[in-house]
Amino acid sequence: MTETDDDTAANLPARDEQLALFRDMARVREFEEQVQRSYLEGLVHGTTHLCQGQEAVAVGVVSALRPDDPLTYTYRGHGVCIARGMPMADALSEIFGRSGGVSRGLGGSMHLTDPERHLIGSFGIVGAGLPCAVGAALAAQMDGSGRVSATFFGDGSTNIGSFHESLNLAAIWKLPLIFVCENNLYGEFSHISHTTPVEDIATRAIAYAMPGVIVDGNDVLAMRRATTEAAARARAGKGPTLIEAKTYRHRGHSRTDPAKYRPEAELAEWLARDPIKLFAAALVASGTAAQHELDAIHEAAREEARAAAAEAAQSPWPEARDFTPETFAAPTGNA
Amino acid sequence: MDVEITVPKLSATMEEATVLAWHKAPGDAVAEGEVIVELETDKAALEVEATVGGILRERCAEQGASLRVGAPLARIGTAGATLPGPVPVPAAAPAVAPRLEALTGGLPDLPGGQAGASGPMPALRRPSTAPAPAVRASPLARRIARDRGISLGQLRGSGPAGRILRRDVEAAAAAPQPPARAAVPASPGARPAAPGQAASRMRQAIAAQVSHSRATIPAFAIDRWVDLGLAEDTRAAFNARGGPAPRLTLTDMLLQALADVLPAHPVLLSRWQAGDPPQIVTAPDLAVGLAVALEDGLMIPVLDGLGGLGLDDIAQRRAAAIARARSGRAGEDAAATLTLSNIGAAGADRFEAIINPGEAAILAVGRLREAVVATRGAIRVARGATLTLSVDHRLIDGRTGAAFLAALAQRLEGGGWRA
Amino acid sequence: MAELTYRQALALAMAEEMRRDPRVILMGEDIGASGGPLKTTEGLFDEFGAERVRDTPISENAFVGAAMGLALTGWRPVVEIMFSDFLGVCYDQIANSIAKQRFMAGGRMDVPLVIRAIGGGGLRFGAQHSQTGETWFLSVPGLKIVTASNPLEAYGMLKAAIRDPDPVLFIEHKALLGTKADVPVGTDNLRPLHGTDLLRTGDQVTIVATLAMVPRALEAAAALAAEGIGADVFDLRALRPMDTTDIAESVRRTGRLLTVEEVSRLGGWGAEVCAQVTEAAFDYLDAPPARLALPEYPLPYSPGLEDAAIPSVERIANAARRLLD
Repeated sequence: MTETDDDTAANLPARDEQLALFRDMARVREFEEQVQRSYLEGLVHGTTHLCQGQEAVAVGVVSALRPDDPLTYTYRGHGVCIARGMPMADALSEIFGRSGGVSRGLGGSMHLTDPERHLIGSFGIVGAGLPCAVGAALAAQMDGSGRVSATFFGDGSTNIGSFHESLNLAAIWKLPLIFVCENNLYGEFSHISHTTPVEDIATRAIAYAMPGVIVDGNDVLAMRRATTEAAARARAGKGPTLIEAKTYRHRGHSRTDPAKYRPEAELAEWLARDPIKLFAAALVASGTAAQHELDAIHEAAREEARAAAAEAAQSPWPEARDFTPETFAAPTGNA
Repeated sequence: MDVEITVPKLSATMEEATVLAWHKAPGDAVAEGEVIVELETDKAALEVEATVGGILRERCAEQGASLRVGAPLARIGTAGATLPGPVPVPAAAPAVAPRLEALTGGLPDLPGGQAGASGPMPALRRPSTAPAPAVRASPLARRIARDRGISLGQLRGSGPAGRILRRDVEAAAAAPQPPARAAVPASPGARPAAPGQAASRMRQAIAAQVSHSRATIPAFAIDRWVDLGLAEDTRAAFNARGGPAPRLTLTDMLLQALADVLPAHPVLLSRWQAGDPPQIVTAPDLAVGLAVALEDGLMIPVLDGLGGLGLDDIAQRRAAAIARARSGRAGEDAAATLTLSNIGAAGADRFEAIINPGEAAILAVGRLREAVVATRGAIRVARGATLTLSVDHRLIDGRTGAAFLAALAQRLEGGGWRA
Repeated sequence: MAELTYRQALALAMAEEMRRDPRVILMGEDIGASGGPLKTTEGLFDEFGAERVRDTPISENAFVGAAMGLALTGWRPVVEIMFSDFLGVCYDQIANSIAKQRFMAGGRMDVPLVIRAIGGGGLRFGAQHSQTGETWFLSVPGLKIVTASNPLEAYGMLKAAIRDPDPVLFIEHKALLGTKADVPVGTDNLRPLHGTDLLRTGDQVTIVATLAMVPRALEAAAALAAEGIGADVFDLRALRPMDTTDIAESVRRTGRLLTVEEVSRLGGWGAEVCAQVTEAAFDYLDAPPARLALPEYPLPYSPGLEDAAIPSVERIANAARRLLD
């Protein structure tokens, strides 16, 4: 188990890369804010799970990987999709249940996927995405493609069987896989101290003979660095890594949860460590960007999200009448 | 006690073994763990040991014999001069299931990557096309048709694919086909037909009922003259009481007489149920249908529970029944087991009533009249009426019907009236 | 043509498909060097090696889920579930992920994988190792479910399943592993993954069965034939999607239907066959459709009790005779 070192100037990415990181975090933030507004406007059905406050994890990890590295994630995975480049309008159309959505409205908020962007699975069952990523990593290993698979999951997922089975399997087969645990201290409404006997999820890596790395999940550069290291390990055939990102979600578990189970002081403390604000401050402090530049980027992200929502709201509804379920690639008779 | 040694399964792929060599003969002492026989399998030769110490009783196969896994190999008797005999096998020993290991075996030398040298895979086998049914009818429709004696073949179904449904059978029961009439060709100058009037529902129902009866019940009639002098005198006497008691009618006397006589003649209360074989269903109690004349037709309310009732009670029920009929509420009455038609007062000496479907008989009473009768050679004038009993010959023969009528006449002539 | 046991038919099907397509990969517990606990993969490790005939730890959840990951990224996995009862351990991955993935993705992803589950009773393995598992996913759209009752079907349907672009749950029966039949082997000899097969013809009653009940139904039909009672005997083969067209046609001639399944009656597939045939052949029914099935308790261990629970040849014949009363 290791903790990452602070950045030195020599390790920082180039300016435009840093601005890209900032832009993507702002885009994820504004996308989620838009989903929230759209929910209030009755455009989002059922429920949705938002990741404001956790942007640095999705953006940091995705930026350190290649575009064809397969990813699996959870119902709180909008950030991963946006970071990977899924167009906001396509994502929002899907969340609105429209036929222009990435999955023609059949999946919804919890199941945003895009095979062309190697966003291969979004899972509503806790822990279910890990085995899928194991399979994708095994495929990469056997293909010799050099790809690395990564899977995102929460602290609550680390108590379910799939987590342990998947870490075990990835370890014994030395798969090119990065397990990214977003520890936001809560599994639905339960504080981690009530459900998990260890404070640091990363300690569980020992049981599976793989490195367990604790990272400040609100530091996008730290997330990026840790992922780069883990990906290098994996591509070199050295097997999987468990990264524990310490972070926090600003909102409740789902859109309908007001999160009253969280102490106010705790929320305030984490709000002060808003990853976007932290990174902005760092960029300004290091002279990499001016505040007004960053504000403009953020404002552009807001505009992008609003425009995407307007476009998505115009997307037609799928008709039950001429709906083809597409359950099978090769339907037979009455299938 | 004998212990049986069976051929052991000593490898996953072993299915059978050959006896190579016996190391012991029957009667030899064997120690636990001592080798008694050598077997040869597909893989190797192996030795089988005694699982207990004792005497080798039996070698179940000789050298060179081939045995399947699990087959008896040897019997060893444990210490004791007199053996109790072989261990009894439970009466219904369950079948020995194939051991999983026996199901395994090696892959044959398989050709590598050959293409289609074996010929094509057979296609799925399919049944030949079935013929269309003679009649399509729901199970419920069939049952109703059976109960009512209706032939399905003559019906047209209103259900899907022309299926005959309950409603089709019930409609047929209510309105059977009228007999075909020869078409009358119109001649030039013939008078145009007079305009008709739509038959009322009651007329239609009556028409359906009586037509069905005539068509399906083989009826015949038996007459009997009844001297009602005593009955009438009694009735007059009862009616002279005055007071709240209802006025008795002849019908009431007839009802009491029927209730008293019918228990001894239960076949009068039966009905014929079509089937294979047909059933004769006898009702336990008398429920009398009373034909009541109405303006446009007739109704038949039902009186039951008459057994043992006095004339006053009967009269009350009779009055209520007639009231029901007149106000159109007789439809909810239970089914009758016998019908009484006392409409002779209208002027007929005798008439043969039509049996209601579901009943065995109907009793028609002609008008009360004076007649010259001879009794024991002497002529006198008597008051009475002709009873005409129509019966379903499937159920009631002449003698039976006549005997009942005689009994009824005796009861009516003999008195014993109870108020 | 080769005379193969059911086991050999499975192994040969996998071998041929693995030769034909280097993307076919097998996974399961002890399927590698050991050739499979029930010897269903014997010879494959020697020919294809440890990577493609891959032993897994006891983690059905993980390796069945991994099969989906493999299928989504270009491979064609065939997973062996040692006992159908263990399908319970990975039920979530099968029902919630594998069956639903293509649909939730709007048809944009295919999941070409096969899950081979070896099940069935009669071998005194006890309640937790004796289910056929054929109906455990009957109400899960998005899965194809087939059952192999003989070596020909085992061979032909497994090859077809491996080539199919959709997830297939392939049910095998351990008591049938040693049965033999002539099989036309050859790379492209497939059996369809839908539709029934009519194995015997007769005019008085229609009998439908799967897996180990098929040979018993045929034996019962032979006994009935000696009494002058003819039976159409169908192997149902495919449970999902289910096609009862031919069964209904048969019932239009016989008027009588008997289903025989090694599953509990409540929740079995017999009810579905009866319902479909009643809808399609209502006017031709001469008796209510009848079902023979397992009793409503787990399969007992004691041999006599286990045998009494599973429909026997005699019980099948008696049930058919009762239909003719």
